[in-house]
Parts: sequence; structure tokens; C-alpha cells
Amino acid sequence: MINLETMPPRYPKNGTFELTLRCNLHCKMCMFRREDCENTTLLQDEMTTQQWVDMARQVAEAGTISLLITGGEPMLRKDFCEIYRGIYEQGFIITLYTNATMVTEKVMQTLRECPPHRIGITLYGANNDSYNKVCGMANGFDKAIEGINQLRTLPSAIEYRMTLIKDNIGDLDAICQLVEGFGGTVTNPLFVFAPVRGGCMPVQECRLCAKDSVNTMINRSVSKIEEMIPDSLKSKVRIKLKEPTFECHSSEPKMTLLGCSAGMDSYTITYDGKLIGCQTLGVFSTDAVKDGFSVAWEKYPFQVRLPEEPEECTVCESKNFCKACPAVRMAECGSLDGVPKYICDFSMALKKKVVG
Amino acid sequence: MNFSDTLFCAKKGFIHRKITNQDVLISVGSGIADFNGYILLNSTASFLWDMLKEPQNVQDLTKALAEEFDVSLEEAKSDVDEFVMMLLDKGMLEEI
Repeated sequence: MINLETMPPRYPKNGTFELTLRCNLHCKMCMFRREDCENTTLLQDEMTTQQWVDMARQVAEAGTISLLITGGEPMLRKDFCEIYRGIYEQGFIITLYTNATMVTEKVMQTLRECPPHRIGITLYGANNDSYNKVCGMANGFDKAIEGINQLRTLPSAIEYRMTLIKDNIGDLDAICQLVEGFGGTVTNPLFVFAPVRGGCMPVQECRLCAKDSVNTMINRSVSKIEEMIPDSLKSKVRIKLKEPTFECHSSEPKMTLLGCSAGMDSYTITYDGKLIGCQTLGVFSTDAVKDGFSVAWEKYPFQVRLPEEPEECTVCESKNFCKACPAVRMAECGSLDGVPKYICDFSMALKKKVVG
Repeated sequence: MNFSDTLFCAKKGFIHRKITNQDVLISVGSGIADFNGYILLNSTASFLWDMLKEPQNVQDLTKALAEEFDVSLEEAKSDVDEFVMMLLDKGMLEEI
């Protein structure tokens, strides 16, 4: 049972508005994507334009300052511009996530008047072939570049992201070069989650094996650090990887709700109006449309029921390298107390790379 | 600097909000090219910013601040001058 007295104060300062789960792309590694045949139902269940704008008003009153607008692909909604403008006018630090393939003139007109503070653009490959293989869109690369060139005319800060899988790992250097040309850098997640919240894509088949994922991450990080060392010092500097000394987050669920900031200072409003702590964990929720945001936020902790961490994990030698959390366990094992094999492999490979 | 005859007005491009009990100015619109973020305001800054939504001169700001916070005109004038200078320096104020 959650004991609110032993937890730090909760405050909803960072929000995520998931405008839709639908997307124009069919990315193999998407953790959220549902079957196309579900689109009609998903569409019917989506919050309306007015409900989103009203939700923005409510979360502003509750003290939210940063708001991430995401999907699915948010620009797929026909009323994206109306929702976006209605949210923007309430006054938030806005981040907009997009695949940049649906940037129409109407969207640009809205974004010029209401530029997001930050735009996160996900790239899926360095050419149309890769986009076709990864996302099922034959001209996806051309469309994304067209969209990026439009979005770059805005005063917004832009971050470029890439999810590496077997089909696009060969494009990594080309994408980094491309993005450098835009004056940016590419970030990618540590590892690719198995599907969550009813997602249906064959993620486990297409993601990198844990060892390759670790090697790519470490090699990229080291080369980024090396680039920052002046030539005159390169022969004198040696980069040493060090074992983290902190305990992993999953060992501290009682200090927070889920072992991280989810539900403590951040939350997600799903496409259908549920309040969840983290976009990747749908098992605990309250109803932000029916109850209103503030009541839903206050009720949320009482929905969270976490089992004890598996004993195998508490004594694991790779514990300090482990990134397992309730959302990861649920995604990988289908239960909150499962031992996620892929993450175990990842943690062991990371430990081996760092401490030998 | 003598501002006695000048009317000032807050530039558009900021939304004034309360985050619990804290006043903040959030930069919006094309102004985010110059400043991409938010500014925390103390109670006097918040009061003056609200007044500056309409054109004001330094004397009126000073008088209102002194009355609202029960301070001397000299102290209020010093605070207003400092605040106006800072806003001008950051490009957040326009002279009418």
C-alpha cells in the first residue's frame, strides 16, 4: 500500500499530452502502434478538440509548466492545429514530438505563430529504402527531409532522435552526418522496449541484440567525448569507463511511486483521457476527463500497486547497470515482477564493457 | 538615466502565469529565438509587470509600488529604476 507520508511531495510540473495513438508510419519497433484495423475505435475514443484545450487549462491551473505534445503522430489529427493553438495560448514550455512527414502549410502557419520551445524529430533512416523497410513508407525519407527543412525555419530548438534497429543500424553514420549538417546531434534510446499498452509490432524480432546495443551506445559515447578533446591533448588523455556507484532506481519504489519521477512530478494524459504516470506504463490509471485533472492526479497514487522486486534482481551482480523499472518489466514480461531477460543481457553486456 | 517623461509598456511575447504560488513569465511566439524559457518573478516584479501591460511612466509605477508594498517613495523609485533598466536590457520593454 502506498504511504503518502513517506514520499516526497508530488507536484504535476511536467505533462505529456498524447493526442493520438494513431500514426501514418508503421515502424517495426514502435512500442505503441496498434493494428490498422483498430484505428476506427482509437479515433472514436480520442479526446475532442475542446476536451484537450480544456485539459490544458486544467493542468495550467494545477501548475504544469512543461508540456510534451506527442502521439502516435500528433499531426495526423485533423484538428491538430486547433488543439495545438488552444494549448499554446495557456502558456507552457512546449515540446512537440513528430516524425516530420506531415508538415503541411497549415501546420507551419500555426507553428510560425506559436513556435514550440523545442521540437523532437525522430529519424528512421538515411534514405527512402530504409524508411520503407523500417516504417513502410516508400518516400518517407524525402517527406521527412522536406518537413525538417520547414521546421528548421522556426525559432524552436530542435533535437534529432533515432531508434536503432537491425534494419537501420547501417545508416547511423549517414544520419549523424546529415544531422550535423543541420547543426544538431542525434540521440537514441538506450534500448528498444517491447510493445506496451496493446502495441502489436514485432519489436523483439527487429531490435538489436543486447550486446550490439551496448557496443553501439558505448562506442558512440566514447567517440563523442574524444571529439571534444583538443588534438594537442589526445595522446595524453585516456578515457576510462567507470561503474556507477548508485543503486538502481527499481530498488527504491517506496521513496516514489514507480522508482522515478513518473506520477511524482510528471504524468501523461492518454489519447482517451486517462491519467497515467508514464506513457509506457498503462496498468495504473485514473480518469482525467470524468474526474477532472486535479482529482485524477490526487487519486493516482492509490491506483499504484507494485509487487516486491524479484529476489533474483535484488542480488544480481549487474544491479548497478540495470535499467529495469516497472514499465520495462511489464513490457518485456507482461508482469510487474517479471525478470526481463533482454534487460538482463543488456546489463551484463554493459557491465562487461565497463569493468571487464 | 532619467525616464521621467517616458512611457513604457511590456512587450508581447510573454505569458504571465502562476505556478502554484510562484509567478512566472513564459516566453512565447517568435521571441523564443532570443529567450527560450521562463523567468521567475518575485512579488514586486510581478506587480510591476502586470502594471506594464498598459503604458506607464516611472512616476506612476513608483507611486503604485510604494502604496502596494508600503515602502517609501525613494525605495520604490530605486526598485522601479532597476527593474525598468533590466527589462530594457533584456529587450522585454518598449518605449511608447
